[in-house]
Amino acid sequence: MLVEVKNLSYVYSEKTPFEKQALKDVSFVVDEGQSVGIVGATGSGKSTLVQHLNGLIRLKNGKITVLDIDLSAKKPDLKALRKGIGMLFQYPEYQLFADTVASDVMFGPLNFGFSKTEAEEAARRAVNMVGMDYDSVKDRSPLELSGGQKRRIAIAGVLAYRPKILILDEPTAGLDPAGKREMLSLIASLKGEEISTVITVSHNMDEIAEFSQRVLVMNNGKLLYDTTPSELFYRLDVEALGLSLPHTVRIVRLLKEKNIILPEVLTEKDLVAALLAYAGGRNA
Amino acid sequence: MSETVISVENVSYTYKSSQNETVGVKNLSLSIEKGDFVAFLGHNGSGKSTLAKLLNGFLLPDEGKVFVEGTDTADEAKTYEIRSKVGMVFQNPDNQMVASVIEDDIAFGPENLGVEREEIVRRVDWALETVKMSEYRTRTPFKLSGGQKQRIAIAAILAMMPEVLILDESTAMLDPEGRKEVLDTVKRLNKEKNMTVILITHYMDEALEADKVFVFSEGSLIKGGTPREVFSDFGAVEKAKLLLPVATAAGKALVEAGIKINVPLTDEELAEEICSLK
Repeated sequence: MLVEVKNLSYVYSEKTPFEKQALKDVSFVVDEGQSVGIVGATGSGKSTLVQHLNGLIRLKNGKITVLDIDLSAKKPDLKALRKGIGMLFQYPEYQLFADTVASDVMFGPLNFGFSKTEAEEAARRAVNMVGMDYDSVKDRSPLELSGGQKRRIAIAGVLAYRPKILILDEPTAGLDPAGKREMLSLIASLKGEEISTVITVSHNMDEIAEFSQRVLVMNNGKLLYDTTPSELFYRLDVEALGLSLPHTVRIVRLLKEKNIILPEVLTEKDLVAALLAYAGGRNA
Repeated sequence: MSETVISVENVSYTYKSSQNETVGVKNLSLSIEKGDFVAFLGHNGSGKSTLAKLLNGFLLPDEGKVFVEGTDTADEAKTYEIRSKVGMVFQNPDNQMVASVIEDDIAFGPENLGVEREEIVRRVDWALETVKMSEYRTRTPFKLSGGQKQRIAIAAILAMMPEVLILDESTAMLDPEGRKEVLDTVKRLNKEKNMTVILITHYMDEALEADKVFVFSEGSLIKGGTPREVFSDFGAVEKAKLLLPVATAAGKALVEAGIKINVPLTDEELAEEICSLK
């Protein structure tokens, strides 16, 4: 058990006119090796929830244990927590700050007590892992890179200190299509090889359908469903939650209305295979 | 008779810094008619955002001319006029907030244009209503979510009643519902007020809503036409590194497997095509 959240509640701006209950009695457990998507409309509490997981928001009500660190303790070991749980915020490229790619990526490792040589080695490994050539980018300013490249460098900055859990908040937002594709295949390749557990906050249901094994559905600060993409998109009323259907699922549903029954596919690849099988059957 | 509202004639623009030069757009020509709903597509660095900044005089061409309703954007005496005619909503809403109370933020633009107070109040009401944020009127924009901030940024532009509304990836951070609201809002402005809309987007399904799509790659216009014309041109799509809509990609795979269907643009069209298979 890597993450355990028990009866978590949180109120923003308590006792002011702006008071807002962001989380209400949220409980769940994430085990090693899972790929978890967190979905919900804007303001449903997704970001507030993940910010609790790495101690950015101080726990007030409930209990959270991450990597055996008890966040309800008086002084939780935040440094160990943040080393273990790497978090990539929305638009992480805006947080690149150093003069060179190398010093930006080395910042995390140095902060977590790596020696200079170790940090450099970690940076080289991480930058290569995100599909860029360390030697050719290390001395460049991060600001000169394209949007997709900047975001990959931001991810490298997190991977460099080898967290056990990776949290991604809207990892593809604002990227161009090529950047999106790169980012998704990068996340898919990291999962399993480098990082065993990935928690992704996303508005993009196509991506959730494509990549997550499990989905937490947030609604008005409550954890409404803890389910699988297949269950969510094929059994539950997704639209009532302010979410859209993935295109693959919409297509299967539209065909069902026309009495053409396809398997309940989630990925584009499986949809094409199902359509080919159906068309092949008709032609035969 | 259609009336040309924006005309771009052989425009080139290069970003220059002390170390290097980067082509923004090169030798670009196109025109946009009043009431058009146009989408600009292309990868990052393709020139679409540079073009947008040339359209409202944020940037001035190195070569060529940009005319907004016949006025040359390089005419310095007309800079304010051009900027009030071509309103632009950017990618990052945080950079567009000027006031600490939402209604003040929205009133800022029309106040600067010298609009009368009563009219300003009416516009603020209307703009907030249009983006469905009326209840937030007296709150601060800084506590809003990203999506809500973006809707306020759009309202602030709407309050200036521009002729042309440019949305530069302004829906990137909205949830599906918020994105639909914004898109429905600009569609309504386009249909009912005949406002010319230029939507710069990475979402192919948003581009499908446009009357006309322009595709950019490496600073040049490589394809222009209806969404159907553009998305059926797989060569141009590939060259511009666009992602096809899911239905189109699936349809393409079927066609390539020798199944005779018309290439669909939407989920509904794909379903129709599959149904019509004999």
